[in-house]
Amino acid sequence: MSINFEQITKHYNAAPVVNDVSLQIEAGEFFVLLGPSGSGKSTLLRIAAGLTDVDHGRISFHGRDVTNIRARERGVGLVFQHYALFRHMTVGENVEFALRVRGVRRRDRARRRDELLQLVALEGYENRLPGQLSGGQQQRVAVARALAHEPQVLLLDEPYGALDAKIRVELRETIRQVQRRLGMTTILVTHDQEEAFALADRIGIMNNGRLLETGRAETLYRRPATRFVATFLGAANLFLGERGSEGLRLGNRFLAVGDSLKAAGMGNEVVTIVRPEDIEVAEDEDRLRSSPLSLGHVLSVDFGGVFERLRVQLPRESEVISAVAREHLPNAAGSAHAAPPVVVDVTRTNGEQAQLPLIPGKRVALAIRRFHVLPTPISSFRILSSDPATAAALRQAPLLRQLVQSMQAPVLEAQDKGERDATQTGWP
Amino acid sequence: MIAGGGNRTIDEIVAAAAQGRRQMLCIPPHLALPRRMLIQCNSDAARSTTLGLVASVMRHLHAEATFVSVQSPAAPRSEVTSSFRRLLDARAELQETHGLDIRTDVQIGDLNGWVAHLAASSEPVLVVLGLDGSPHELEQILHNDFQPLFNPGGSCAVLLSCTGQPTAGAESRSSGIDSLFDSRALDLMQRNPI
Repeated sequence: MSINFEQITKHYNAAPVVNDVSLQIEAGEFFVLLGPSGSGKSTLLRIAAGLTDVDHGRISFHGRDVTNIRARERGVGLVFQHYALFRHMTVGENVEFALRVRGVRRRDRARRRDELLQLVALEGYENRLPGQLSGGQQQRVAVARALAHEPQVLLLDEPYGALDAKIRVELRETIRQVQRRLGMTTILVTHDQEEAFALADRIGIMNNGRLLETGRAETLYRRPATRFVATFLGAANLFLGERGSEGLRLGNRFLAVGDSLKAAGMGNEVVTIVRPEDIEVAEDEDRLRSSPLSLGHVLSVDFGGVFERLRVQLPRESEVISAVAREHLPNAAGSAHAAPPVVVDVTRTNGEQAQLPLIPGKRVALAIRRFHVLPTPISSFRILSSDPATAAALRQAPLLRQLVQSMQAPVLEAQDKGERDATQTGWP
Repeated sequence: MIAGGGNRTIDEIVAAAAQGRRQMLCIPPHLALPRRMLIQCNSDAARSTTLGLVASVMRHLHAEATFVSVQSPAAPRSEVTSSFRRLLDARAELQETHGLDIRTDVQIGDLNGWVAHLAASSEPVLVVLGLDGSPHELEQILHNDFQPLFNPGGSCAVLLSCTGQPTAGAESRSSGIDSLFDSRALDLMQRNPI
């Protein structure tokens, strides 16, 4: 059963917590709504379930408008983070509950109960009480109960949140298998990126009540359209680059061409995403195989199991500029501002570590294997006012503070290095 | 970015545009965070870049965004339907290119009335203007049509997206369907101007 959200909006205290969300989920699709706390993802799920009404918009299941249809009549299965089992009922009675209220005969109920307990690998547990089960087992009972009335839509709100890591992995495999076998359209709400990547056919990323981007996991990770998605889905280095006829320039060394440059917003200043695993490290520039970025020195080395995490500081002479908001520090003259040195996050595999062991303080050469340019017209903010009091007031304006904080975009003075070409630079 | 709500704001915008700046945000420094974002675009030429900018801002503000067309009650039917169509095209383009949805709203009345209404409101609003034209034309447009938005003590932040290119005569018009809308609905709207 397909699900269609059209301009769904919901306010709490006059602020939109779900803001004009339009989304089409195909029949049989496993769709994951991913986002931080307060992004609106659970509210959207509750709207799909019929547990929360909408202030604006329409929701339809397989072309049928269900916006004003009560939850029970929508025929969806629901699983919440807290199992919501009836504590005084046995496992079997919990699973049968939805069938009993629908008047299904005892023999059919028992048959369906046994099928479902087998499906979630809980055969033989039907006479136990929820208190006698582990968290993972209770959640599997909740899944079986949600499936009892054969819903065509399954809605899961952080169902693994209260479980430990091992059980979480087991349960999500169970749910994925069940979903595939039954072909149910499923929406899962989570803030866990790994969970989303493991389960989703498609992911929708929400923030501030907006559905920012939808797509397959790899596409969102490799070619995000927004800073938020780029940084929410794993670590990312963000640089301000300069787009010219020769290609992309970062600092005074790196120059390369790439398809994403064509799609970037107007202007010659662009935000460039480089994943930590896409940075090559060598002892010196002669040993690099990719396009050189800069020399630098290692600030820290952290063991991370399969990967090693490095932080490498670039010298100011590299002229590489971070595209992430930062506090500008007064320089010696006290009037102008100097950007802090850029620190690059790098991850290396065990093989790379063995070839070049590193310790803090070691000088290294960095290169970029792969990059992505964001298609955003906003790379930074510049305050045009030459009056210090006005400039200071602008910096404190709530609108600017919100945009800067949310976009993580730097605020530059008009005379900063980032100001390259006023005729093309995007955002003053 | 320019401090709004001053007597010289438009002059500063025009000066920045003459230096080649294409996107300018004017904020009255005291302005509370807007919960509404209204987008007005004076030509199809300015639309794509304006929508790109709108999409970037929409993703970061807890604000409802509405693409507005202001329509004179005396406008011929073909112009009104064309205006409707441009709104729908803008919404479709935002969905297609940026994956975001937006409200659309036709205000029946004149542009100056709409602007005066906005400027008089105490509710903080972010007004996005997509404007076609050279810096000189921009100056005229801002003075003639949008001056109240920049008045001292105002409650509007203004985000400008300018093409910087001289307008090529008449604004480009959508061609084709002129009878897309029910004429009764149209008459009703024209009888209830803002």
